[in-house]
Amino acid sequence: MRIDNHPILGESKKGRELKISVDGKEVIAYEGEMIATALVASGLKVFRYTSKYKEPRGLFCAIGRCTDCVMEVNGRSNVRTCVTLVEDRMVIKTQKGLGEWKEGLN
Amino acid sequence: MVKVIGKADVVIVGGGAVGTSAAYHLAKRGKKVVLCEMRNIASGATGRCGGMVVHCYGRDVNIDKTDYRLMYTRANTEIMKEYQKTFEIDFEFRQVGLLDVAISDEEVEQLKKLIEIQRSLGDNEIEYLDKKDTLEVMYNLNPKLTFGSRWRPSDGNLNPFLLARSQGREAQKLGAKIMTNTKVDNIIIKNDKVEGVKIKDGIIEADWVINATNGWASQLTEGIEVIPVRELAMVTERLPNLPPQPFEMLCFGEFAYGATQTASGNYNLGGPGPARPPKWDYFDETIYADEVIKVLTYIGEIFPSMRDVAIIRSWVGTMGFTPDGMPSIGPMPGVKGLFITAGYADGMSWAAVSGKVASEYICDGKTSLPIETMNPGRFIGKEKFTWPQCYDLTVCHDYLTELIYKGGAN
Amino acid sequence: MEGGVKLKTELAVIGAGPAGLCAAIEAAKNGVDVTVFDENKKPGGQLFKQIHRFFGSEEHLAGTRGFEIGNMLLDDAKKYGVKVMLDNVVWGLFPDLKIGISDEEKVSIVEAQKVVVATGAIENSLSFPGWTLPNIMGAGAAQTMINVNMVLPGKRVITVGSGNVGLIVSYQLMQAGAEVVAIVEALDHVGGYMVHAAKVARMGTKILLNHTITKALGDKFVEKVEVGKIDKDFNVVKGSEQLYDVDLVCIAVGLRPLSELCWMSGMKFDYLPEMGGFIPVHDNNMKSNVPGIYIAGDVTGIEEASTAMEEGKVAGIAISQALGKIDNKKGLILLNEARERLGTLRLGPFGDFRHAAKEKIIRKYYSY
Repeated sequence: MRIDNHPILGESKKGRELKISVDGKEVIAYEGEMIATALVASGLKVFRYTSKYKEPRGLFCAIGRCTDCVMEVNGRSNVRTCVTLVEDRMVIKTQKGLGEWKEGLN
Repeated sequence: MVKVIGKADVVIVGGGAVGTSAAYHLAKRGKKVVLCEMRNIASGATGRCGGMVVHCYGRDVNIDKTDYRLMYTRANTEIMKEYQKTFEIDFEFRQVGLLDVAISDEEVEQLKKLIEIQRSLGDNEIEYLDKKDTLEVMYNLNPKLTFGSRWRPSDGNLNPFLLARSQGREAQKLGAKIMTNTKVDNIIIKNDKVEGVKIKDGIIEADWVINATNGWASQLTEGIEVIPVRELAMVTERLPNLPPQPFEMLCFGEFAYGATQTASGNYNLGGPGPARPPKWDYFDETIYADEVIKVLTYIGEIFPSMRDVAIIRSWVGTMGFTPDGMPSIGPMPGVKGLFITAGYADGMSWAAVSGKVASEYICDGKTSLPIETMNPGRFIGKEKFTWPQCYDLTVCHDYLTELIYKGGAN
Repeated sequence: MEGGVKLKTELAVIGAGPAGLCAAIEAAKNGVDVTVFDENKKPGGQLFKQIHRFFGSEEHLAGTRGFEIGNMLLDDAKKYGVKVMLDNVVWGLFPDLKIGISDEEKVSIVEAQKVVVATGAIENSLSFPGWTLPNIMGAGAAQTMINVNMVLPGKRVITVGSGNVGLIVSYQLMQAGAEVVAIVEALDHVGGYMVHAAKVARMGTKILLNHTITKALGDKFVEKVEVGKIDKDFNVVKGSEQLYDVDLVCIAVGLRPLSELCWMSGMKFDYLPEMGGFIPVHDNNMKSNVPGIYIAGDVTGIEEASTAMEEGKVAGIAISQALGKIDNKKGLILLNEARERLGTLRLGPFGDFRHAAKEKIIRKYYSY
């Protein structure tokens, strides 16, 4: 959920509106924000499932250190969504285990 | 007056894959075993290698002993398969095959010659793959640097920490005592007979002492010529299944850079450390910035799609080479009760069988496999060992740089 | 990826948070050529999520909000010619002072005459059944989301831990529109300042002393938590368990230094649980046991932004002196002033233990 007006910080200043897709669904994002921000704004809680026991995981530290928030971004697995900026038309998928890298890692 | 603090049938010095193997096989034969490890289990080469299982790495230095080597490494694989039936700890032994990649036409020619010799000496598995077939087996290789390869399907990798722990655990169950953080100051020999070992707290008496300290072996026993060699390795983040083949890149017909994917999905990468004699400390476990950058640069050239991948840790370790590329396994000539098992550059292919052979010699006085070729005293009185040029990093790097930046294969 | 030397600088500072920036500014004021490296895309460390007013004296910027201090530091850094390189990951700090660095393009080396490690800290986690469920996150993480990113991860919250982080973040979550149902504290007293505790209590949050989370429940994310009373041996009192409906759990159980680079470079450590665990030791001038490498801020023990800033200043001044940019007399005066300010910050019931801990750390430095 977005905080549009905060008692101390005032109105949130957003960059240009972008469209990204999350598991095929279109989600609004703003230029200059991290992927995780747009995902939390859209109400997403589950970012990935673990390899062995297939357990759901989401944000934990939000400063790029714990790697719990990784997702598959534009075909690349293990991307830390809390420290990666959104880009227009980014394709984001819930990562299952280690994901799938086809034909090398490009 | 130094105290005698214990007595054993056999004291094993060194707690890597080789030492723990000896502990297990001897304990199985009913011997009272004490293993003394100066740091922790698998803290030497065992815990720092790529875990590759190479039946016959067929380098110039020892290709003529292919048949001898295969006798051992094939037996080793059978013993590991036996382990897998009953051992409590699984050590992730996977026979996924191994590639030796040639990065120039000259290297291809060398490779083909080596393959011929290997085949003639009984290795019926080794195959030559041309560029196209190589890239099919391992598609993330840089096509510009792939000219051809040598492929051995029954090679593979395992988890070396778990192998040592697994053997150690089974040894303990059979009554062996494992003492970590226990450095052996020296092996006590009086009147050409072993009496035991001296550790900080005193003496452990024993009828037999096994020197399984690999890189450190020559420090403990004079004359066995185990040459410590320092290598740099690193591990990546976990990656989804890419071709899992362990891979080694040739340079002058010798190993240059290697990579292998572990069962958990991390890629282990490694390369030669700095130029060795005479200035470097072979036991220096410090990592130096420019070494890391060099290894990363070349790995990035070999696997261009890996440039994006995060390296999570790097480390340095000391292995043990010998002048003829064969390990030293056998009783030390001139001393009663001293058994040597050291000088392993590919220890995971030998650890299991070396322990069995040691237990056979100590318990029965004879072994099921011939050990004369690996007599630990074979270098006594020989010419001083000089480094082949392939192990000099500067030469290796210059050669590789030239090849890589000259454009490589088409 | 070619390697080679990316750049040479007199002083390399690792971390552009309050400690790093202050070290950089002090050194730059004295004519040192300074480059600061930070792996994030924005500088300021944890300052920018601090939207509350700081305490202390006027010279400690009392009454100023964290993010305002952050902006002031950035302005000063610019004014004194400090180069700040963002999106630069320092992956290695070697005993010979070489720095392994990774940017957008390649992996390379930075050479510096002196280094300051100011890499800060990371939140601890707490294990209980269900602790990995999504929307159970660090309190600092929730704080980042609401104060920096302006998004609210949940509306009905339970916070674990009543230290200042737990209290302040709970208050800030309520400012952002969430309801903090309870703060769960294992000890028999509130850990943080009473003024913060009073604020959250006034807003309706229950502070449950002698309690702990026994489990978290939910299918794909947290939906309920069970909280139970604990006895003096930290065992759960049977029958005291209560279920709460929540959609967000904030864990505020302390921080520990991000000290990997310190280990790697060969620094000596001591174990001080009251400061966050394994702490790299330093002397009176924030110098570590590795010649040429200084440390400052939370990486040297968990305290506050104000102490981080003063420690950074001490390091910056000491380095200016070591590089011969200021004479010993001037250096000593500046150092004593900074050390006195540090002393003031460590007065009182919340500072005494930190003062004692820092004395321990300095004594340990000299013992190696």
